[in-house]
Amino acid sequence: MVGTTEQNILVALAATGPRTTAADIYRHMESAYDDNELPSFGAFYTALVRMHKKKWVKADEDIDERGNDRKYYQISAAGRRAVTQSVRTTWRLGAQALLGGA
Amino acid sequence: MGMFSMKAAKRVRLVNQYMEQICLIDSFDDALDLIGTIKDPKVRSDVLISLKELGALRLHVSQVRNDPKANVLQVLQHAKLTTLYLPTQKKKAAPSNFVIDSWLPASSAKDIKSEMADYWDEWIAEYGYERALFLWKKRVKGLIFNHWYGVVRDKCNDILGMAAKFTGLG
Repeated sequence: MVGTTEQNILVALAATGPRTTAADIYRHMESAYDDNELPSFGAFYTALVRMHKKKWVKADEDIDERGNDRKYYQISAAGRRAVTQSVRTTWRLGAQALLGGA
Repeated sequence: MGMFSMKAAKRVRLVNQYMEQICLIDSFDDALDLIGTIKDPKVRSDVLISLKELGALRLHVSQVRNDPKANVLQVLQHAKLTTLYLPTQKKKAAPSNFVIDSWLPASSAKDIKSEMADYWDEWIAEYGYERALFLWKKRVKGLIFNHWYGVVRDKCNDILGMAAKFTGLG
């Protein structure tokens, strides 16, 4: 099951494309979400690591132009499936509730 | 000694006056012509040195701004900003990564250190040292808290899962 934070991160990852650093994903979320929807950086990073363990996110380790170790993240096929299913469920339940199906 | 100071002050004033006139001149050759009319060799030499520094600065600004005709006002503004900004910037090094290394797993710590270094540069430029340091500490504390909270939560879930399995409730 995909939580709200995880869903938001996966959507942001899908939007930012391959080879994105954690800070870039978070910057995208800062620009896309309201402050009350935005998790703290700590919660965001922990969720990202957790999703990497669940194999929803791929992480490639590399060295950046400054010579620092970096992790570049990318949404995996499993992650894409999980977020698609989660968004579909949210929409279905929302539509049922709002349009009088529930 | 007093006589020397008065002479030096007069020379500085003269150099400044000539530099003010030179700043209003567009052509480098015209500026050299003006310098040629200065009778006092020491003043002439000082004005030439100042002009050389201004020229180097102008070249730097035109490269930074990608504008081959950066005007004197921009150059002087840049010089003022640079002299104001550089001494304060040199003192403000990023905080030590010791806390990150000690409290977070090595696999994440390397990446987090790089991310925080980027954020530090951004915050220093945007907010200044005090606020940047506050944000840095806040973020690092958040990262450490969330990591260990996650570890404890996962362990509790494992223990509860095992307990449920043994008691036949799972």
